[in-house]
Amino acid sequence: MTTSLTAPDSAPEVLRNDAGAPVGIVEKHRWTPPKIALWVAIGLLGGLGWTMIAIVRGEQVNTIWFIVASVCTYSFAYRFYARFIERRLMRPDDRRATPAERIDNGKDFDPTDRRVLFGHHFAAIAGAGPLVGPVLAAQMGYLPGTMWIIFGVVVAGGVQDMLVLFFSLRRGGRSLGQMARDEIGRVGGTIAMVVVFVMMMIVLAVLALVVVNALAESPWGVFSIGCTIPIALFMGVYLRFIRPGRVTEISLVGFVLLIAAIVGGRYVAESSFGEVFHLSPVALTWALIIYGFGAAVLPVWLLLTPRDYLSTFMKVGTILVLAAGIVVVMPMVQMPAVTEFASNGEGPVFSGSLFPFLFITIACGALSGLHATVASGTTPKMVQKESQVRLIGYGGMLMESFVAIMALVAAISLNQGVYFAMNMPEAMTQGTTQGAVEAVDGLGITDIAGEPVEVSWETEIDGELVTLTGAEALDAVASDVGEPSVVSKTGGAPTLAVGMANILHNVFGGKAMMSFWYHFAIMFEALFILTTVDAGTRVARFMLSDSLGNWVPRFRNPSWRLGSWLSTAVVVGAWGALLMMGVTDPLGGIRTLFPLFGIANQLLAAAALTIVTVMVVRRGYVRWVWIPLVPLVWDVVVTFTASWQKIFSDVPAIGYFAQRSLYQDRIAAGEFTDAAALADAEAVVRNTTVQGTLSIIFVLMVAALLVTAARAIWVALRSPGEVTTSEDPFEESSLFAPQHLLATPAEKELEAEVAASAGPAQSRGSHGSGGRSPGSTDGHDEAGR
Amino acid sequence: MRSVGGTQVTDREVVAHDLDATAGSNAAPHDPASGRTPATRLLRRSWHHVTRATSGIRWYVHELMGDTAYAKYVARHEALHPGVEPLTERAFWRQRTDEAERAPVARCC
Repeated sequence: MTTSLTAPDSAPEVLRNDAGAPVGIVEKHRWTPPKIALWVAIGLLGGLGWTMIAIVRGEQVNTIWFIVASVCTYSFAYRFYARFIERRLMRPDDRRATPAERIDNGKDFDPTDRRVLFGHHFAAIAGAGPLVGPVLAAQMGYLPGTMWIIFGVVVAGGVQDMLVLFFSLRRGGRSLGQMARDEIGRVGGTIAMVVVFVMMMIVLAVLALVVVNALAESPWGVFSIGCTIPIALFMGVYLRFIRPGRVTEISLVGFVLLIAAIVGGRYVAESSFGEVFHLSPVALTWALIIYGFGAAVLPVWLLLTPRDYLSTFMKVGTILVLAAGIVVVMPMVQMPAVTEFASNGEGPVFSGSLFPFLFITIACGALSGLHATVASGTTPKMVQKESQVRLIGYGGMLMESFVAIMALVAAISLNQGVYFAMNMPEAMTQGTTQGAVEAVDGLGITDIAGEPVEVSWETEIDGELVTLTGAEALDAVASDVGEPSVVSKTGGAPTLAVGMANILHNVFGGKAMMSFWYHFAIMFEALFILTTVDAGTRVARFMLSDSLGNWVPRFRNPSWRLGSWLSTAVVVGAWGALLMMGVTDPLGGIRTLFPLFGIANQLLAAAALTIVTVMVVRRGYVRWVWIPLVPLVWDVVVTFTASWQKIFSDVPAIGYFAQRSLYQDRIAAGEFTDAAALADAEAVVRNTTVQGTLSIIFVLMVAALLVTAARAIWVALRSPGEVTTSEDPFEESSLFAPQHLLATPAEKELEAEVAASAGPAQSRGSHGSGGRSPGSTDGHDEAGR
Repeated sequence: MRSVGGTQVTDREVVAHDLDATAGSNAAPHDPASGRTPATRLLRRSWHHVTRATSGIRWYVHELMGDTAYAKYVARHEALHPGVEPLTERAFWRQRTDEAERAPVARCC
């Protein structure tokens, strides 16, 4: 049943349910001159941005063009491509009640305002990943990374997130593994679940490795991150016993305490007491493992929930600060568009050539398989209307991509010599400034002017700005950011922190504040990662005890203390062992483990896109199957090539097994006379065995999933008459909510209608839900139901 | 907690009501644009925009962080089980965190 809202035919069509209540709007898109002018302007501006960064290049590229090009491209993609996919593949129907509306149990199924849900979804998908990958990929120059982040999200990442969200929404918010079992069969479903579990271990280990690298030998950092534990405990106790429910209030207090911990960290580090916080990488690893176990077995209200509040607060705050910094300072790019490492594959940060390794190093921000675990199972249970999926799924991913672009900008506005000195493993720099300068010279690469790269840094000495070069420059960087040394601080986080401090000190506080900004950046990255580690450990533990429950049913009982401790120990042991392997890796943990992380994440994306493709075919939309198939094929080609090279390449820097046999031969030849060197060589043999085996397992599992999926597609294609689907049956909606981030006038009018028709008795309920939304006439909450 | 019109509401709900009053004043009879001189009119109008923006941000932050969960629960409870006493705020939050214990939410990278 439909009616027209106002009069003539330009007015949008209003969808109403059988009771006559509005449930949605079908918009008619008519091109008016102002609209055309707007999109032409956006197109021209975006084209100008791309021209400046990709074609003009030159010596002086301003980073503002990265912001312009990305925002314009995102706008186009959101307006045109995402809407195209919506129309062809999703066909949202606002007459249909979403699981949130149908089940609405006040717990996990909870219709949530689209703007709020956008925030929740974004906070759940974005963490340290989009901040780290682009920084590492900057070794190949800025252009490949920028293009992959922007076009990757448009064609692959956003598509995956949005379609997984939508299909899960149509299936009662079921998880990826459950959907795989329903659509592909038992074997496929089981493989998908094992894939998710194993990849989670890799992800947690690599993220924890980033934290260890950032905090090792840094008393200031260790002190301020350490403070987050008592702060979170205090917040937890406050919310449990003192003022329950005052979340914003205590988060503000926590935030202020956090800033105090960052400021105070300097004095603690400089005091005689500071040595306590001076931890070696191995000591820090043990601390993290013990912490991870504790956080997973302690009650959530005590540590996990309050830390999550702090993390959400910091996430939104930092991104706004960084964006403001880039727009105000508009730093110049110091990195060439494409470096020699893109083609010769000899990069010191990660080895291998641009294809395929750039595309697995930047996962989060362009295409991240792990998002599918949030987009299925969690977010779909909270969506009010089907038409909001584009905003939350695609829009949320565009936002993450934008974060990745900002991280890239921070990294490429640093001096290239400083960048490489920080990101080369200790095996190359010997951990000294002099060693680092020699290693940078030895790279044999050129800067934007075509000259050999030189380490240089501008600093203030006695109030005068001076530019230092060589080892002195690296010492100056370290003293400016308040660290003992920045050489071989691999993992991306420290580089991003120096880059951010380098930008932000121009806006807030000058050189004197640089060390504060550095530690602020380290703090939020560590906070994001620790939140992920806490939550990931817990999720993995539940997955494990659920599977163990098949043999020992008692494991399924969450209140069986011993069982939960045992499965937690297994989970923490698994990522802890991988972490220790990375931390002690003689060749540099990030260099060897990060590719495994990227491959794992992208293979998970392949699994998610495969499941989506099967669902599209089984829905009968064979004509449009290229929409998920294009990113799927690309992703499979990238990950399988990368895995192939990692397993079979005979270049020791790339192939795990080539490296292994090289070191084995050298040990056999008696090359290592000194005990430490021999132990290192044996560690290389051991680590490459583990890493190589993991690569094989991953790729075989995903290949098996692809085969079972191909079979499911074949079966569906052979019987085109019967379109089978595991979608939930239609149930009529009686809820109206706008679909756009900002409600349109027509949507506001309907909101007003809903608010007016809800009687006075119910309107109390709508007021009770915490104030009305700004700028709209509200009434979209409980009142209508 | 205090009692308003016979029903128990939290202090925050009352704040929410006040907030509504400011947010909705655009359409209210005391139009902010009806000042006497152009200067005061401009001042009032910009003040009006400032309060609207602040209350908007406040609304968003409170919703995002979950401050309003209890008020929502009470409203829902009243609609579903009229006459039955809802949980106290303390008991509600306790129950909520205990549920989170059993159903952890994944965070990505």
